[in-house]
Amino acid sequence: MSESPHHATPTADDHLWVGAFYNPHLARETLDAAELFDHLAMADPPRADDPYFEPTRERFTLLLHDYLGQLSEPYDAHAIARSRRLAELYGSPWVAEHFQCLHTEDGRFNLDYVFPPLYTEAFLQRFIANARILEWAIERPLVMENIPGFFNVSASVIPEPIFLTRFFDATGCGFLLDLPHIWIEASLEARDPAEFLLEFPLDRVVEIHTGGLVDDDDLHAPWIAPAPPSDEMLAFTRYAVAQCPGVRAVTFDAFSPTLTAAVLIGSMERIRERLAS
Amino acid sequence: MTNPGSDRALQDALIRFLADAPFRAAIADLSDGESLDGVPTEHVAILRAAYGERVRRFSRFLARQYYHARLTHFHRYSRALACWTCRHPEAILRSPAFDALLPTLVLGSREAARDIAALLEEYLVTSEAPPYTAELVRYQNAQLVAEAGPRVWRSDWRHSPLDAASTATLATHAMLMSFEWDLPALFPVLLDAARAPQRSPSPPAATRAPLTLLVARSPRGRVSVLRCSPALTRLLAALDGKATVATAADAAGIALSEAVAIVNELAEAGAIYGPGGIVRTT
Repeated sequence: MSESPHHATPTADDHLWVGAFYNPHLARETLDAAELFDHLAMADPPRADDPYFEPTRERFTLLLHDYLGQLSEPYDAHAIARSRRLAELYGSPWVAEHFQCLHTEDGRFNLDYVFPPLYTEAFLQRFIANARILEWAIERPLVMENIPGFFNVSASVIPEPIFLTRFFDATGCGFLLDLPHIWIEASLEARDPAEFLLEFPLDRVVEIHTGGLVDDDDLHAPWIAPAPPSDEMLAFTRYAVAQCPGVRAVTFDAFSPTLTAAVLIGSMERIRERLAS
Repeated sequence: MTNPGSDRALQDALIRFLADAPFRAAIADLSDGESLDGVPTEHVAILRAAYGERVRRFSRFLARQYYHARLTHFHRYSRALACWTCRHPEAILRSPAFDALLPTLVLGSREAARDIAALLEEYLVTSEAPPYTAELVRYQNAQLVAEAGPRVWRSDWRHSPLDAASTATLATHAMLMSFEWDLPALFPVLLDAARAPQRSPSPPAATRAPLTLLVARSPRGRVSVLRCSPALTRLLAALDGKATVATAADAAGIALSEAVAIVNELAEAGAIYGPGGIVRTT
């Protein structure tokens, strides 16, 4: 059985890590400003011709945050082997997955974008069973990230915070709390994000994502973007950290070829400053 | 309480509802108690109840996200070239021509990929662009189209092993393409030039060197591009679904043991099909 992510301690000190995603096109700038990053989350495997990956791997704690599969179905041998291989390559102290179900079982249709499952008893039991198998197979703690919905489906009968609480209680997995996702959902329901946040199982949080939101032209609503976090989001992040007693890391969630060095470095400086004050 | 199979089937219908615009329109047009394409009436009712402005917006959003991710990946060389041409491939996703596709768009279908490839060709291949641009766009579009279509998500689906007596043929997703410019040599030069702090006033030149490339897609959706030697090109041409691997190897002038190894690697990459196609191994 793997160690609880609350107790995964790859470094001797116990301070809150502040990091970002590894953006290969900004690897040089990331290494140049290494003092700003305790860790880097890996959304894609490194390209064979990436000259910066090895120095990056030597310098930072790396967190596996790739698309591994969807836990509505059991992972197959290929997906588990790939997860293990990447986790070992990175030395990742925990492995992240998402509460998502984005392709059909027959493979005909695929959204290729985060999309939550129906919050039902049947899906809860599927996620619990498959997460247990995955965590056992990869022999590392598993953390699960909340995914926002954009519209309501009547068959989704369990409130998301209850679904997540029951999942974490049953599996012992860690919670990767994505604050922009919470903010989006609160915004869609015209609710106060800080109040909505408190409905989630914050005692299970291991890692927090913070990041930028911009109004999307299609959605006519705020959505995740490779942009700097606003002052309000930074204040929300600081508030959330204070509510999560087991949180180990805060990650600036921006992974895109359009992300600029100025936004990455500037955001890291502001996140650090806000969390230190 | 609903049964697990029912919930998963409803999630599949919901995913299709977002991915498949004609299906979405057909569901919206149904009357109470009607079913469609295997989706039972109770699921149709749930989809119809969910249908509204937010579903319409989210579907548009997903369509642009879906193809933005692919253009970012497959058309990265055109993106680099945009440093000089100012024509970014992603710009087509905000064009009226792309909006016009939305009512009939099925995310991930070959038809959609071909339609988008046509938009890219029209936008990126201009008289001001370097002379190799048309081939560059054709190369990238081939990968966009090859990647499209249903895929298997589980690794226990494998191609049937091929031996000397097997017959095989080029897979429907695979394309054997001829080029006049040495694109593989251009790619790293183009990326480096685009990233250079002191950018050259003009884009890098390419050299003319005819070559043949094979674009293939594995059953799991992984696109690969192989440079074909004359012998490999002859082997592929000989694999017509009737000739055995042994006959094709002879025609291509390749040793039989080498040809068997090659055809199995090609089958693994999704470039050719044997008579058994792909089968579930567990």
